[in-house]
Amino acid sequence: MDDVAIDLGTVISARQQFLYDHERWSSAAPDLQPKPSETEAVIEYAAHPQARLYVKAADGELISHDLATTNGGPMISVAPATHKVRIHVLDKQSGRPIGVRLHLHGEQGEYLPPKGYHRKVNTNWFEDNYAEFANALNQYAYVEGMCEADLPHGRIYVDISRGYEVSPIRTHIDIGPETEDVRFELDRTLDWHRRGWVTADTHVHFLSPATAQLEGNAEDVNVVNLLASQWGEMFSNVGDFDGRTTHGETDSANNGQFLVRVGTENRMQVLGHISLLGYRGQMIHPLCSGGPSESALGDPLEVTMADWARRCTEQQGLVVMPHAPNPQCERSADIVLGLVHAMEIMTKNPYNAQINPYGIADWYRFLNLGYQLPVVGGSDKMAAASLLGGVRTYTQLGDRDFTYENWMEATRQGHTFVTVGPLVDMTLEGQCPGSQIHLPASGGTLAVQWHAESIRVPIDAVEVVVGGDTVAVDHPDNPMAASGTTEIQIMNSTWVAVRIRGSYNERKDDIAAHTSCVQIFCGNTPIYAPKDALDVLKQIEGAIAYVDTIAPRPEADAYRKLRLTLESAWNTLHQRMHQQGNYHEHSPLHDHAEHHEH
Amino acid sequence: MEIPTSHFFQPVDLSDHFNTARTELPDALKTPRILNKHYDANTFRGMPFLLGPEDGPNVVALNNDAIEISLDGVTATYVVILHVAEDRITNYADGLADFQVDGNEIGHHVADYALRFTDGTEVLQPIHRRFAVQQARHQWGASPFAAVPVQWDDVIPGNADQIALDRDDIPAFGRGECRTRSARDLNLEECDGQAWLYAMPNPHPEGAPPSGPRAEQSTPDTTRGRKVQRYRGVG
Repeated sequence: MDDVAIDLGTVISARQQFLYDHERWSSAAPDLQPKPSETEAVIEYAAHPQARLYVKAADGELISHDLATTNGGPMISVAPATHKVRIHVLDKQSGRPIGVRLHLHGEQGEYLPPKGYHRKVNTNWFEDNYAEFANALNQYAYVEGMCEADLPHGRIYVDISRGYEVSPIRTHIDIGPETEDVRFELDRTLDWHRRGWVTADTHVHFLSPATAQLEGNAEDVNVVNLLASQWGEMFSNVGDFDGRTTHGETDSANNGQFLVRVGTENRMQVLGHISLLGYRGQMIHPLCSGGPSESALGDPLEVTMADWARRCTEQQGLVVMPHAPNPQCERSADIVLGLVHAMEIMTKNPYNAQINPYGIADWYRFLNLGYQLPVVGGSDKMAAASLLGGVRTYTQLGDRDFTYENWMEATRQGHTFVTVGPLVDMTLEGQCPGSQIHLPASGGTLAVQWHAESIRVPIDAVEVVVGGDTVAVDHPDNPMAASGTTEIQIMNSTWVAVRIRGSYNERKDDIAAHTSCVQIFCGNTPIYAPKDALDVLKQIEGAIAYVDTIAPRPEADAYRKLRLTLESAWNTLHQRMHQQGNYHEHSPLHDHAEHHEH
Repeated sequence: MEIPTSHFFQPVDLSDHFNTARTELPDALKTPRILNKHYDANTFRGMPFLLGPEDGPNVVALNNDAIEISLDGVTATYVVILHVAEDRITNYADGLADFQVDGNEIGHHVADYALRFTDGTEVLQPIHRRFAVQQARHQWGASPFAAVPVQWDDVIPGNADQIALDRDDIPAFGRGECRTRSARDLNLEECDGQAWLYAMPNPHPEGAPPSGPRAEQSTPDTTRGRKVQRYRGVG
């Protein structure tokens, strides 16, 4: 902008031109990004028709152009977007209008937003929290059924998507003087919803409930958990919480299929964060504690997450440990105390980074100790650059009707998977994730059956995981649909799940989906891994060390209470370790006894 | 506004112990940006420190040999140490999660610090990752349990206040709303790492009630640092 000016007008923006490979636009590639031009810029301006545009060259010389004769020389005129067109998006089967994520751009790569949306969305934290998504250089608007856009005459490139079961459309249309309406029909190619699955994002911030519902609809996410919280001196979505309303239940246009419930994410800088979903009654306070960046400067550490979790359960809510693997501190105590219903894998934008293997490996630690934690997916959306439902939870409702409460109950039961695209289900001897199988002490041979489908992200590999180890890998011939059966030998108590590799960006090792697990018990032996027990114990010791040293100290009773909670968890796990004859070291701080181990 | 350091503290001169220049340290021990221009006398969190000079050896890199630092018979409740451990990859699971420098390795024993008293007795403090020390660069949420960043938490003026006061320095919108930020988060966003202050307690400070057998012990005479594996202390 500093190098561009107009004498009789104003330069609105000057940005690198986006160069799309339009030959590939209609391909099935999951993501097609333009390349920003190194030599061409698109300049938006408002000026008198006879104004002159000045551009400063690298050597400082001013080069001028007459805007009345822009075509020619180094400049071309981008066709003005002034022709109003109504864009309709319908479900192919029912003919009903549906929510979608929509991108339009013109022949020069210029983004063409529908009316009411940013030409250039701001993507930083807490900036534009509206019905938009920016995936690197591609920008999208969320619309339901119909929108209007001012378009130029000529070719328009269109990208329309709706979650992971509906085939996306990437095509072009030609707009002429007579064009008033254009229609698109989307086909639900996969229909896992009809088979009892519902989708959810367990972790969304800042949107209004109505915008969250629109984005949920357009991303085919049935349940959006919008979480109020505190950010230093700022509070978000607090006014949207009432402890009773599920938005969308009475939305007849969508048959009540897209719900938003406001819960809370209660947070502390060191001890950790915890998501309290769908609870009833009064908001659980303090929303945050222990000082910045979560609560206000000077706040003492008033509570443990365990206290928050207990209150959430008492108020009929669902307790989710968010964004594994961080922070690794008190959450270990809460899982050991049995206060956590699910472990969340978080991905802000799967086009950039898919399911975090560190989050998965961290979850395995707890599975390896016999804690039956279903896996759920949440975007932690706090900016337009995050994709609501980009990672999502699939929960099998079974015989239940679709209600928010039934979704919580089914999720607790554990027949879930997380995905950034491919859909996957498994059974072990007919038992689904969340179940247990009991074998004789000598173990046995079990059959894992799995089935996976995808409409966009290719399935590169299907892995059968036992106790954290990959015991079988299948590379399907058809990367969009695969199924199989694998026999596994079980000799010790453990767990089994299925993991899918596949990538938006042709990175073969990317994790694209993961089921929750089926537990297997051989005789009376518990599921127990000594190394993981030690890792978890150290996290609890870390929480105790923090409370004893640098945590902003609360008044004496509160301090005693929160320390008691942590000691209780430590004792519980420590006793298990001794029962298992688990030799281990401790990491005490400041007890000045000899560093002990036993 | 510049103010004096707290009168409760006095710096310890490590001039005789600096053994490495910051510029010679490997990438895993690269000085965080927050300390790049800090040499000689500095104040961190209100406490005075004597860092090394810009030229020549200016940090204590703990290698295999113990070093002993004389405290000249000073009385103190704590010895505050500015230090950092080397960055290293955390391995959660071979072949799955074994490539990130995420800082979530908990409890790895990197060094021993000790207070030696004038009567010859000694109190040993094992230094573990994520407890008394942490590496400079780590994931969000992996700050140490028992050490604090060298800076205070940030206080950020609100946008509306800045506009009302006709000030040009308008913070990023979100930051202006929050108006505060933990120094722990600076590690991720601006500082290319963090350094840590650990307050090592003296269990026998002068004036302690003679209720226990150790209360009669004398004041600390020296601190001692010994590497267990690889460890660096910044003076």
